[in-house]
Amino acid sequence: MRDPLTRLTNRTALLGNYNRKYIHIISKNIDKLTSALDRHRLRDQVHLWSYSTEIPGEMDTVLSCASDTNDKLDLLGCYFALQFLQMNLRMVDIVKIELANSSERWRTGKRLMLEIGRTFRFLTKNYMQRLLDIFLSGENNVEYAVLGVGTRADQDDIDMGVIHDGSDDVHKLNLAFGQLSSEMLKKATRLHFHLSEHVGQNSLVASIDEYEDILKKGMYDFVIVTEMLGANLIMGDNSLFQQFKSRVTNRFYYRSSEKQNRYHEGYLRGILGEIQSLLNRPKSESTIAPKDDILRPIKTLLSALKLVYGVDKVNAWQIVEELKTENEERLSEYQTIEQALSFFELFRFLYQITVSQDEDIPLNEPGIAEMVARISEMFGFEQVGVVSAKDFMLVNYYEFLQSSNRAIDVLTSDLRSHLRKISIFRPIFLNEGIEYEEARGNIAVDFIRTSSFFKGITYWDDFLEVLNDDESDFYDNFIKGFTELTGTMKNIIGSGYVYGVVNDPTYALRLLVILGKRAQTQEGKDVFKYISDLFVDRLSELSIASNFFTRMVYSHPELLHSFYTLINWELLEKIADLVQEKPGPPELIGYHDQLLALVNIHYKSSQFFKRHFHPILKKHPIFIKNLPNRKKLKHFTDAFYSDLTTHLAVEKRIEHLGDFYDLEFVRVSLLAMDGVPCKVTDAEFIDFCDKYTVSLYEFCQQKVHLSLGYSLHSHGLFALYATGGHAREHGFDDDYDMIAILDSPDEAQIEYYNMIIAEMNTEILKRGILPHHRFADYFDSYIIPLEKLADYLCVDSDDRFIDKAQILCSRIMVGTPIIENKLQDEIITPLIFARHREFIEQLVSEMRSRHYEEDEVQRHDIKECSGGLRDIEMLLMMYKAKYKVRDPLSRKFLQRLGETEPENKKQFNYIEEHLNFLKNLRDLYRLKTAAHDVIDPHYLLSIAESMKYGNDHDSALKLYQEFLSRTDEASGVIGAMVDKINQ
Amino acid sequence: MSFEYSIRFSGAGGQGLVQIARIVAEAAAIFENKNATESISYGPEARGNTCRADIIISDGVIAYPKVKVVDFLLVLTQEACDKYISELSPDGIIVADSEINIGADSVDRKLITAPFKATSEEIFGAPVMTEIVALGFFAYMNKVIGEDAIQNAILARIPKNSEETYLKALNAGLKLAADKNTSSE
Repeated sequence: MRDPLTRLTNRTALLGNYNRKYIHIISKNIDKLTSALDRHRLRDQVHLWSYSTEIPGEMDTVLSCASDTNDKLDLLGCYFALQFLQMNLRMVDIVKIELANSSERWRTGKRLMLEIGRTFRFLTKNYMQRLLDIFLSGENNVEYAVLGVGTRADQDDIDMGVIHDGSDDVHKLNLAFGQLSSEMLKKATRLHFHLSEHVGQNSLVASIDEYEDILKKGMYDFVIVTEMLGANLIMGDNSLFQQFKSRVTNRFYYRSSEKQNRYHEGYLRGILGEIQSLLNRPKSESTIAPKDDILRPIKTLLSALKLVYGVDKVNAWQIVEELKTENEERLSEYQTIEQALSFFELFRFLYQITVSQDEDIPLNEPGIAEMVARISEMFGFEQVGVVSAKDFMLVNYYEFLQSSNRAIDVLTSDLRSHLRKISIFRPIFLNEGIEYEEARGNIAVDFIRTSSFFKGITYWDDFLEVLNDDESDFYDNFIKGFTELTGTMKNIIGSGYVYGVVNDPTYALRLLVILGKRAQTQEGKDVFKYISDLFVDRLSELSIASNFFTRMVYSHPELLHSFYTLINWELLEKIADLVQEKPGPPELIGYHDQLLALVNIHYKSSQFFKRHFHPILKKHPIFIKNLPNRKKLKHFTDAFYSDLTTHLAVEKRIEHLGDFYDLEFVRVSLLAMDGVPCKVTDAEFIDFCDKYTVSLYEFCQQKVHLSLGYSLHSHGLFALYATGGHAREHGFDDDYDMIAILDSPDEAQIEYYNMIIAEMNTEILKRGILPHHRFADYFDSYIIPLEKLADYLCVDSDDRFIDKAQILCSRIMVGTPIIENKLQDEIITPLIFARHREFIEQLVSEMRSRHYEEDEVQRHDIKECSGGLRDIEMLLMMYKAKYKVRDPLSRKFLQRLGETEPENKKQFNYIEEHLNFLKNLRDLYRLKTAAHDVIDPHYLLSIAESMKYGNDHDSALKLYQEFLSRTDEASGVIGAMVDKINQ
Repeated sequence: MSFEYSIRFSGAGGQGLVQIARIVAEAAAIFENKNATESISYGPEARGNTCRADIIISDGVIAYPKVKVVDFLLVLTQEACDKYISELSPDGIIVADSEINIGADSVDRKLITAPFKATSEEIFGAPVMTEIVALGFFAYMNKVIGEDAIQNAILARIPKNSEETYLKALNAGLKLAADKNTSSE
């Protein structure tokens, strides 16, 4: 037969590793304890190997057998360890039995958790009481009360505060608590004295006067107040505890009879800020954490609600029970909270008792998943079909999480309304002036001075709402007040507005975004700039810029994006520098790439790019999260496009189609900025652009149909052509050349298609692109009848020659081959191909006249310079005419030419390579600097970086010189080819 | 005369500093029967950017758990280093991750750097065990708690089935310290 210690050790193996320390304590002292009990013939009076219901008496019995103080500590510690393990083993057995037979798991959970908490506290209280008696050894004359301030069932630590009657002679008492703390750590559970540490003067104990003093000085935060409000008497003088409540904690309760509820308001502001911060915390993809996920927000909320409704209880379930009566209107929310509380507390308890005391549960770590599966079975979940008990439990976990988050939303919203009604700022917000001696009548000053009472507070929604209210003149008064301040005062008051970033910077960022967006006057702009600078300085001084901005990119991407769009370039540059450092907290590291991507785009992109980037990120902030991952962006935009037709209203389809264009524009631009070659980005650009045009035509036709009540069928006689850069399959142009052709003179049809094109133009313009309709001015109509077009192009003149070139380069986007064939047969073949010599001569003459006198500006024009894009385009047009080819002027055409004229293949390859160089340079210049074709050598640095030249000024210079030398050389090659073709 | 040794582990919230502080305190108290206390940053402070966990170890009564002057300072982030270096005693030791720039404040103090994060990344593919590698380094370097006590305390705190991983990290830290010690001799 195994001995009792071995049996206990084996049984304890079912529990988490932290129970090992109790086995260690027992092993060290059990012989001493049994011998002492035997010596006093008291062994049968004490439960050593089974759970006891007579703990206080048995502890006294054990102590009576000890010979000296050390002996007492060892014997009592051993007994505590034995009972502690028996208690946990018993609890696991009870939980298994009760939950297996329970139809309402949460209700059973609640009952069990209350029992677990009561049992643990009973055991520890009796142990601590006896230890204190040993350490004080009857020499203490100071009245004291020991208050429990944490979760009742937590076994890893006991949070407590010790208050005394204010006597001077507290040294002995303090030492005793120091000894108690050490002894508890050695043999039981650690003690934490946050409350006393915060209040007492280098002491573990503090008087009520000291508590009152720190409250008067404002040296407290909501964590300390929450502990005070959750205090219950563990042992000691109850009258002292009652005094503590009346002198210290009662001031935080709401009193409707009081004109001001400053302490109550301060606490509510702290709590509301804390709940926002907790709920906005990045959620891990591999870890669950019941305490941070939901228990902390719930308990924090309950602590505030109990003050509003005058509830005196400290246990979360008891608070909920009373709130159900006091605030009957929210019964359903309290029931949800109660169920969630029970589920999560029991789950956390089971994890902690059987696996680890850690709050985070890493589900992917080896061994943990297996342990969680065991807990799910203990919890009474069963495998059903292919779904495991663990998965069922995790589904329950997230369901409770969602439902309790909804309940928290409702209840915090009630708290916000309550705060608005009782706030001491109400007179300021209502412009009634503030009733304090220190008030100056300057809103910017009065607000910050009044709020200085609420140190460390992060909830200022009411202030921000009124500041953002167009109907109120609060904003104007704020700007006026701030502008009137002297330089020093501006710094003091401005710093006050950004001081709180150390606690939660969201508020400061929201304030700045409001100030930035509302800044229409120079004064408004100055105030925004001044406070923004202070804000970034403060982050820099605290070395937390990277942490802060990473947190924001996770929780408020749209807010951060707005801020970046509002600040000037210098500040953006400063931020771009600050955020290069990796954030400290591990949960933020995964979001740092998103931040860098966002900042770099803001910092290193042109207004041309931002025209699409800003609105789309504002509308779809989720896009920000995918910025660093180009593949995900593609999936996102593909899904977005596929989803268009699920919208029933055509207006919605058109609106979302526009978003699709912007999203794709941004995505392909980012590829270009990454250095992806232009032949890839051009193909992607034209692909989405064609999709956009075809769908836009379709949706606009539906819109016209709805407005007219009928539609017309073109029978293949209508076609929409792209011309210009878009037809040449070149991305990133800022205009959109089109030709709409109808092979019918019917006025009704012309009018009908004109309406569709007009609708399309409106939408294209919304993208910031100018739709150009070739011939529209001449014909006074977007729609050009084919017959009239032929008549028009028959006439020989310089401008008609350009128009012919446009037709030759056009590319069909909407329509059928019927009209394309007619266009070729009736216009292109007879008017261009049949007269190709003449057409080529006109092109040559046009090319030479362009370069007759090249000035400095033209020399730097990527498009128009000698050897520039225009020359390549015209050269290829000559070949098109020569070989009577209808293909677009694409890279494929160049390759075909190489096959057709093998003797010139080398030159065609050269032209293709040069085209790619110029096109890459032009695209990047447009995306990163400005939508100009004339390059400024001073702004080539980030372009050189994308083109892999390097990221220093020498690289930029090298790129510039290469542009000059390449175009010089290309000019010669193109000139020679033109001469040859024109022979 | 009784001794008192103050230790501060500091870095970012979520880096496991509280956990290693608890391990050290329990190693001293439970496995070596010394008096110990630990005190940690809490609430918004703990969720902020720097986090600290203090331990005092003594053979006498510890009347107050807050550290006034630090004898052994472990810093895992630059911010923590900047914030706490001034609280190091003149004879104190500062141990920092290699990525940290200690700066001019470290003049006249005993400074040791070691690649805790890089070691964790090398062995485990991620910085998840950085603090345990650092704890191993502490176990070797400190003068008041034995390596066995720290190992026992780790085993009595970590989740089941993760023993091998933690001991591997601890041993990596011990080795780093031993190598450092050899190279400085």
